[in-house]
Amino acid sequence: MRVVVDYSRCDSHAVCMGLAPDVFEVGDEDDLLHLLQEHPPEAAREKVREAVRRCPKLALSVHDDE
Amino acid sequence: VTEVATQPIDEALADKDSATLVMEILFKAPDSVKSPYSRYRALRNTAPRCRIEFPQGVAWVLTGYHDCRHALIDPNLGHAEHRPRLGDDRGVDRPRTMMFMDGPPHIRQRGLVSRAFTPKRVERLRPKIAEHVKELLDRVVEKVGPGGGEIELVDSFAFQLPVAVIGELVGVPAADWPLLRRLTRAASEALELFAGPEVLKRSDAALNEMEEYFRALIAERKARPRDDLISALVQVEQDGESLSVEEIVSVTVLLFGAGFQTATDAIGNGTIALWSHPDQLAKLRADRSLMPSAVEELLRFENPPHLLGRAVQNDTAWRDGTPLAAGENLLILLGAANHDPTVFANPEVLDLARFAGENPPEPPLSFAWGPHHCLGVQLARAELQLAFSGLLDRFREIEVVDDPLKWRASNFRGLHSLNVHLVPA
Repeated sequence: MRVVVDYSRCDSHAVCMGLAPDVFEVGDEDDLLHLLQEHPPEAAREKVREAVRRCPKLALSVHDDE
Repeated sequence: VTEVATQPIDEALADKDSATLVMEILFKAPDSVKSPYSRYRALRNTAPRCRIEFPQGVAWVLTGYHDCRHALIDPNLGHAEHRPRLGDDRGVDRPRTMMFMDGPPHIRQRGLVSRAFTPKRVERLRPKIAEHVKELLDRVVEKVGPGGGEIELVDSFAFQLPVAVIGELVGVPAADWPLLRRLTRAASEALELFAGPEVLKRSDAALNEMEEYFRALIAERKARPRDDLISALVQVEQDGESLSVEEIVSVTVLLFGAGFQTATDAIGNGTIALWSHPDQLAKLRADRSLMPSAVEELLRFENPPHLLGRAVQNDTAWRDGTPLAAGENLLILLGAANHDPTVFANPEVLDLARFAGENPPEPPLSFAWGPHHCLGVQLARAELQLAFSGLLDRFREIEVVDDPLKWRASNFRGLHSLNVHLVPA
């Protein structure tokens, strides 16, 4: 699984960070979303999918690894 | 595939066909204004995607959560030229607010201001908001006296709090808030369905006046910058390109108007809902950690924007394959989506703990969804949490005096006024 963030959509709501803090982090300094793991491990994938569904701005997507 | 859970239908509505229900909802039959939910339920049970041919064109009236959500995110659906009508009277060269833009122009305008409303920025505003709540409620307590008394809560609190917060943030002097409130109300009339030519004219006149006002204010801030959003926008250089005055006008008109109008309604609606459910109120008094969930639930239960419009721009289809033709319109009933029993168990029950805990239901569509999801969502949440906390802290009893309640006949569910009897704590 590969996670992609569309920064033109992201409003830094941090819904994703609440669900999967090992994968998503909104920076203390810059207030921007940082992807901590572009390829999240199996254990985190369900929460990542939930983050995709719950992001109100549709800024996240997941893709199959090539 | 839309799953339809059958709920009991009010007997009085059982014989009505879907077209009649739609007309009564859209044309604001008096008892539908009082409470639209039984009609939403009846319509969702019989025709969750109700396709109606109006003289002006085809409209799909949506009452299911998943259809409404889909309508808000499908890139083939947008605002088109003919809907909504705000600004139609004014010629194509005039700016329109980003609420009615699609694609890159929308993303650009929104990007200019969205950083001012992130959770972190709003968190820093909390002490200031709490201070406003305290000052406003000090005045209310003074007016009703220590033994309690009657007061009109919309003008004395529900309007004053959000307008003070957004007014300071944007940089609009307090003396001008009442004027801008009147103009915003008039300008928003164009957002009602079937707004006639007279209404549109009045609305455009109000919008022009607001634009004039903000143009003057921008010139003032250009000359003497302050610590506010207008001054920041005047100075901003986005991608090396300065903003035009007209762009700043368009952004500030929307921010200021949207910044208080719906929040005013949400405070009024939430107050009624809370104080008409004594068991839930007691639960919240006993456990204030429920407040974030309580605010989500109050917004689900009685959210202010009840209807959003979209138009099909390219031929497309629903997720089950049913075609949607270019030129057709979608009427998205957010209030109905928030009461869809397939997503929210016992939707007519106010359950302040609904969004607490490990597995909350899908998010309600109170702030819409997708590209146009409310920019001020964090600010609204903070204001509402602090407003209800303030009311709980300062008053032992709140009793609604109005019977019937003075609901506006509008796509924005809210009250003209709310007379309450308050007993200070």
